[in-house]
Amino acid sequence: MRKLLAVVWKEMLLLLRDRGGVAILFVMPTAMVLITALVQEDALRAVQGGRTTVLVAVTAGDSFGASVTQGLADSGAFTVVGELHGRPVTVATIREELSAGAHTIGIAVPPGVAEKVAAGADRLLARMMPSGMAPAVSAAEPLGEIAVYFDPAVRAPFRRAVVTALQRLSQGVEVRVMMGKIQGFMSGVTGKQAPGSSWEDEPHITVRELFTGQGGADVMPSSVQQNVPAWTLFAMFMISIPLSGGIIRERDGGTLVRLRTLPVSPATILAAKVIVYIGVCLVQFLFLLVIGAQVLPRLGTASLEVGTQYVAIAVAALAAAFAATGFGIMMGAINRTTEQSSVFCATAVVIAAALGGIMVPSFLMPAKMQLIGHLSPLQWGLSAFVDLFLRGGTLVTVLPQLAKLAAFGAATLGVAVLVFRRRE
Amino acid sequence: MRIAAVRDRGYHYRLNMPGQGMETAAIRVTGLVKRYNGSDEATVNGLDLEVREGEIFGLLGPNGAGKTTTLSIVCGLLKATSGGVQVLGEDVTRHPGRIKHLLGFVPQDIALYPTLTARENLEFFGRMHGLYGAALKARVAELLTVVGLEKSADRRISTFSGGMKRRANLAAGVIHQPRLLVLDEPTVGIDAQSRGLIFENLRALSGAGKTMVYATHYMEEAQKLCTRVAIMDSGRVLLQGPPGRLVAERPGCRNLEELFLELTGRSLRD
Repeated sequence: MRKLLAVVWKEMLLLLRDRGGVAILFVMPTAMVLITALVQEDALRAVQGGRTTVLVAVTAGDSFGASVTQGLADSGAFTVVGELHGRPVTVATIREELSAGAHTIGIAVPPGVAEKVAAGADRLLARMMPSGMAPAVSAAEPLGEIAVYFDPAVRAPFRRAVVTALQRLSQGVEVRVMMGKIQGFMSGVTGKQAPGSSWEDEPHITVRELFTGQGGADVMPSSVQQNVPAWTLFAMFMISIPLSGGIIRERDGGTLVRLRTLPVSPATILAAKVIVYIGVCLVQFLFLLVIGAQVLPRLGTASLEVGTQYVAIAVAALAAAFAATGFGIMMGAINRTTEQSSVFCATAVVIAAALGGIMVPSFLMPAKMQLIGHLSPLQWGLSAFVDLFLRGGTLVTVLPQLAKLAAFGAATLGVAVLVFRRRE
Repeated sequence: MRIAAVRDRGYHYRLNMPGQGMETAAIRVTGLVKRYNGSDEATVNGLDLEVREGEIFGLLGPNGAGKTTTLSIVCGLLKATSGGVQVLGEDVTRHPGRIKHLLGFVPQDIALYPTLTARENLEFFGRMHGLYGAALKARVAELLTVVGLEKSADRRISTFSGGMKRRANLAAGVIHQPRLLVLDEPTVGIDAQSRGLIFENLRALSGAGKTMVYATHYMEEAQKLCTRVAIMDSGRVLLQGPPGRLVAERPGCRNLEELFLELTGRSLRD
């Protein structure tokens, strides 16, 4: 036990004096969490709750155009700009603004749609009513189409959301016009016109947005909730760079040879590394959680919510730390130079992070990439933390992910031991 | 066997008194063969060697002769392909762990942690040998004085000169007062002053009855320091005995270097 403590102490001294290593372990992930959370805060606000500015070109006095414009403004998702530099927005203005990158979305509403819809209502009534009562009708004309212009950089899911919103909005206006026409006609026929009894005053189906976890939690997803656990896992796996580098330096410098002549078991030396680096990962984890809960809110973001499953969170952090440490030791065993190891570790962690949803949330990836992402230990870790933080998950619900992380740690350590033995 | 404790320049040993054990074999190597995986030729090829207790035994040979491989097997770092190796009465091929507390190893590399100080390095290696507390502190302070590093004890090894590193490397090998010290090129690339101090330390160890195996390229060093030497090449011992006698028995050779070149040839070894 005293020898184990002595090796642990030595490992800690070596790590603390490796300034580059400490920077990789703490400074870099802190910067990553702060920057990505702040940068994505605006983007997520735009998607989730903020307003996106849209240029709208309508013909002056056109009732349908006015209704669509009002509907867009009332939706809470858009800030409608109908005039630019004191002049009404036109299709040409939209094209210019989008080409210059000054705006990202423009909508051009064709004129006279309301009148054409009203004429359609007359035709409908003419078909339903006896000939003496039928209104005069005109020939059907195409209603025209609402053109939506996008900056090419606007992502497909957001484009789809805007188009869907416009379709629903225009259909709503269409129904309102039609119902108004029919209601007016019927009132004329029956002579009954009760004030406040129009179709619009009737109850309508509404849609409400909620985020509900397994335990009934109602936590809004935010850039902090995504980025803090994601980059914490990334930082944990980045310990593989100083850890593997230390092992290679020990081997190249001859200290590993000297250690093997000493009355201390290889298991003790390996155990000390595992203990120290798991400890470092847990310190990283707590440190970045504190940044998410205390520092980021002061910079204007939401605060990190971690739920109430503290034991499960601790076990998840331990499992992720074990996986990261095992990976680092394996990298130290299989690589021959520190340069080789640094490149391999960094590349492997970045790839695993990309696949694991650290950089781009998994649900935004193509189905095939999501499937491949399930092979990434970072995805297992992130999935466990998101379950625990956002979905009210428990130790039982995240057990499969934690088992995978533990198995990965054990497997990589096993590979390291085999490589060490083979090289003896 | 009469045994006495000796204290000389900080090296404490249980000493076999003169004439009482010089003939006991500290190391006995018989028919040793080592063939690395993927290699057709044996690096060590039927080597026989005997190192007696209390002597300084020089292992000489050109690059690739098999010196480091032989020492690695003796220290339990490598497994022999075949043959027998007994160290201080223990069969190293079967029980390499049993000699670890009796053996001190000073490798050719500076096998110290560069970002730790000399004191931290020695304390760490002392703890690995089971030394703790006041005894460890005292032993480390004593050794730092012996190797002339007491004033630099709290400087990191990375800031040391080559000679200082070599002296610290030697101190780390003897922190636990081993019965057998194996040194692989302990004076490579250092100044005359540091080499002189290391020789002084090794003589003090020898005076304290310590057995040493000393691999070197420096013939002059070996002639001055070693009680016996073995000249090896291609994994075999070509000649062994006291250096003075070996030179005397070879007509035309004035010193060990000439004898070495005559036995191993003048062609370059890379």
